Amino acid sequence: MDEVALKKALSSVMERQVRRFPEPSDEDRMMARRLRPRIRRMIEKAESPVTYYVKRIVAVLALLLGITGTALFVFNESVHAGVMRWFQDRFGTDVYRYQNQSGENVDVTKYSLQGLVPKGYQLFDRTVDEDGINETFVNESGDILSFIVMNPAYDGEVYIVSDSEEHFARVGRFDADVYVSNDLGEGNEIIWKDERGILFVIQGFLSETELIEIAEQIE
Amino acid sequence: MLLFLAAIENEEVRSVMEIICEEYLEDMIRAANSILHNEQDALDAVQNAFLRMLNHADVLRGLTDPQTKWYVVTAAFNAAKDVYRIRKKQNEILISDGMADADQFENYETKDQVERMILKLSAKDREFLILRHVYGLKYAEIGKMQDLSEEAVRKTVKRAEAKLEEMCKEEQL
Repeated sequence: MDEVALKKALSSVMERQVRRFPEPSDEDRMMARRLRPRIRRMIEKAESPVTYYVKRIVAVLALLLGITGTALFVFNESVHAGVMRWFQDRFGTDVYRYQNQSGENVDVTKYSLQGLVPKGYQLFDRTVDEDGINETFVNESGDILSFIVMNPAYDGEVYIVSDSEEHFARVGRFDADVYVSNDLGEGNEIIWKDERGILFVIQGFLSETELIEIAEQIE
Repeated sequence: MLLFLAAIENEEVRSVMEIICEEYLEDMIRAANSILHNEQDALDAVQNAFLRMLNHADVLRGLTDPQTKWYVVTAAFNAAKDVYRIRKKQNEILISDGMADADQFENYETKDQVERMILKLSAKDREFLILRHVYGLKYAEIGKMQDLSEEAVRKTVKRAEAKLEEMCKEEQL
C-alpha cells in the first residue's frame, strides 16, 4: 500500500472516530468546570514555575499581614487610635465630634470669655441653651473670635478649621488640640476638655500662643 | 513533580494548551468517564493526560481542529485506561467493563476495506500510525509523546505497517 493511500485511509479513520465521538453530557460539562481552574494553574506553573511560586508566597504573606493588621487594629488601643487619627487627618470632614463622656449635666452658663479677649474685641452675641454657650466677639477690623462651651451631658459636633495643621498642646493640666490654619482667611482654633468632660473651643485670628494664654485664664 | 517544572517554550504553545483547556476539556472528560464511570478517577485521568501533553506541548502546534480533538480524546482514553488497569489490579470493584465501553467509540462499521483492516489493528498500533502518517510526526516526537525511545516507536510503527500490509494481502487488496 502506498503512502498516499495509507494516509488517506488513516485520516478517514481518524475523522470518523472524531465524528462518532458523542457530545459531552451536562455532567461532563460540570466536571470540566470544576477541573478547568486546576488545569489553568498547571499551565501557569509549567510556563513559569518561579513566577507561579512567587505569586503564591506573596499572596500568603499579604493574607498573613492583613490578618495580623486587623487583629492589631481591633485589639490594640494605640494602633486603633493611630489608624483612626490617620484616617481623620487624611479623609476627615473637618468636624470634631464631641461625644458625651460622663453623662453628667453640668451648668456651663457661668463660663465666658468676656474680660479675657484681646483689646479691641467686643461681645457681639451670646447664646445659651441646654447644650452649652456660644459667644461671638468682633473687633474693629471685623475679625471674629468665637468661644464655645459644651455640656458633657450632650453629644455635639464642632467644626474645626479646614486646611490646617494640628498641634498638640496643654491648657493647664489638660491636653488640647490646636489647629493652625494654612489659609490666611481662616483663624486658628484650640479645643480641650476638662476633668468633667466639658468641651471648650476658642477660635479666632490669634496665634497658637495667644489662644493658649486665653484658654489658661478660664476658670 | 519535575513535570510541573518543565517550561512551556513560548506564548504560542501556552495558547495551544489554553485552547485545549477551553475547547476540549469536556470531550476529554467524556472519554475518561466512558471508561472509568467514576468522577474522581475521570478527573485524575484527564489531569494526568494534561500533564503528559504539557511535556510535549510543542508538537501540538498547527494541528487542525479534528486532529487536535482526536489527539486529546485519545490521550484522555489512554490515561483513563491506565487508571482502569490500576484499579483492576487493586481489585477495586469497577462499575462496568470500561475497556468494552471504549471500544465502541474506536470501532465502527465501514464498507471501506482498507479502513476495516486499520480498525482490526490494536488501538496502540492505530494511534502510532495516525501520529506518523496523518500528523507527520517524527519517531522522536512520537517517542516524546508516548514516553518511549525513538527506536521503540520506529519498531512499533514498522510492525503495525507490516501487519496492515499482511492483512491487506490476505484480503487481496
